[in-house]
Amino acid sequence: MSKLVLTVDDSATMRQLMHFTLSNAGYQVVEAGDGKEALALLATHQPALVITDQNMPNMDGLTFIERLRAMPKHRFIPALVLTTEASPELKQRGKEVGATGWLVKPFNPEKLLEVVAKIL
Amino acid sequence: MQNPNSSQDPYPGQGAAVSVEFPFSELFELEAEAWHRNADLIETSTGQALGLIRDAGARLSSSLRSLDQRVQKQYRVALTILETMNFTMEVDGETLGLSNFGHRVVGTLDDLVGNMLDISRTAMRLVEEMDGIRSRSTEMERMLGEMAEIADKTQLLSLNAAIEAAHAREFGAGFAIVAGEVSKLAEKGNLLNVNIQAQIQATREALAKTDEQVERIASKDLSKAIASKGAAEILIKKVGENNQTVLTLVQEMEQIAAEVQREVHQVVQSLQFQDMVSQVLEHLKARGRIWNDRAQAFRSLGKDPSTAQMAQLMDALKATATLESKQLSAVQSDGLTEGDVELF
Repeated sequence: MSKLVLTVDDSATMRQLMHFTLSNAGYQVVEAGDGKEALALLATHQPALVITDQNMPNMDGLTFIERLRAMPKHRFIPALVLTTEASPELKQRGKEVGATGWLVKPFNPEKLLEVVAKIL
Repeated sequence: MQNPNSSQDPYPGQGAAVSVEFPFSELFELEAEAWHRNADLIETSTGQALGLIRDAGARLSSSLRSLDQRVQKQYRVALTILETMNFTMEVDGETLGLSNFGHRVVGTLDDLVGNMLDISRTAMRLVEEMDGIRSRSTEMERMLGEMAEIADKTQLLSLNAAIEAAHAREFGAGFAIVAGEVSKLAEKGNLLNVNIQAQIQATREALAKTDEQVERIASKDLSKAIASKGAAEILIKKVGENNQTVLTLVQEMEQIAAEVQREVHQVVQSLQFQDMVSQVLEHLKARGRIWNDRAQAFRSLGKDPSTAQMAQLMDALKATATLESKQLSAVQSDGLTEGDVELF
């Protein structure tokens, strides 16, 4: 059974590119347009990994990860942040809320798959 | 906009008209800074957007050309594989290839098996004939043994006859007995002679048949089978060479497939320009809303603003400047080089 990855990004293009990259490598993918949608999906899905953007409407990525870590059923799911943001302050906040790693856009598919394989 | 410090109006008693002491230069300086700041932002943002679009265009164009070349190459290699597997060659005036190779081999094997069965049947008949010859030979030996016996007895009787002839008184009776015995032996000898002749004749006939069977085997036309075997050997050698060629070509196809995958990854990286340019433009849009708010602040002054209203405007412009300085663009890059990765 292939592993499930939850991707969270308000950009449909980014979701499509991540879906293409991950599904061709054998992963199952489920998508959300922001943190709020992602939390709703977690009611019915148990992903092995979350990849989330930071700047999104309704709920940003770090707030979503904070909520994720507060859910007993999902608190240990690895969560990568994939964003254009690269400031040290934001990365530090990412560590504090429990992010597993920080990837700056644009991502290289080969590198993304390496990281995913390493984590899973 | 409310002035939180209205109870500490720096210009008390000046409600109706702007005091000449109002720091207009500070206001103009604030506004000039705002214009510079936003002009820089426009320049930076448009530069970023253009850079991202230009870089994406160049990368995508290069990737698509490269993909096209590789797909063409894959097509040519695939055609070569097909041609290699569908080869034909002329052997003994016949056009042979993989399509009729199997048929030819089956035909050759059929001929060989047929010949082997025929030879086997002939060999069995040979064995039967040889068996017959062996039996007759044994019989002839027995008969020759009898002949030898008869010869001995005849010899003995001849001696007796000579002895009897020498005794005159008993010549007639004794000699008659001996003559009778000799006559019996001669008869027996004749019969044996006939039998032996018959055996010899039968043996000659058996040998003739044996000759015939051997002639039959020797004259078997194996030339067709030998020629077919030769053609099959040539074909098998050619198939072996072609298999090696096909293996090399398949390895080439695998390499091209790996190159295609790398180019596809490049395309995926390049297409992310859309998200990055969108973020740059969103940032400009957000700044545009702040400009609107500032323009509104100026518009709400009216024809003859009071000093207090001017003071409020000043505060609003300062607040706007603070807001703008905090509103940083998320996109720092103007190109599509892959971003950093850090695992915590």
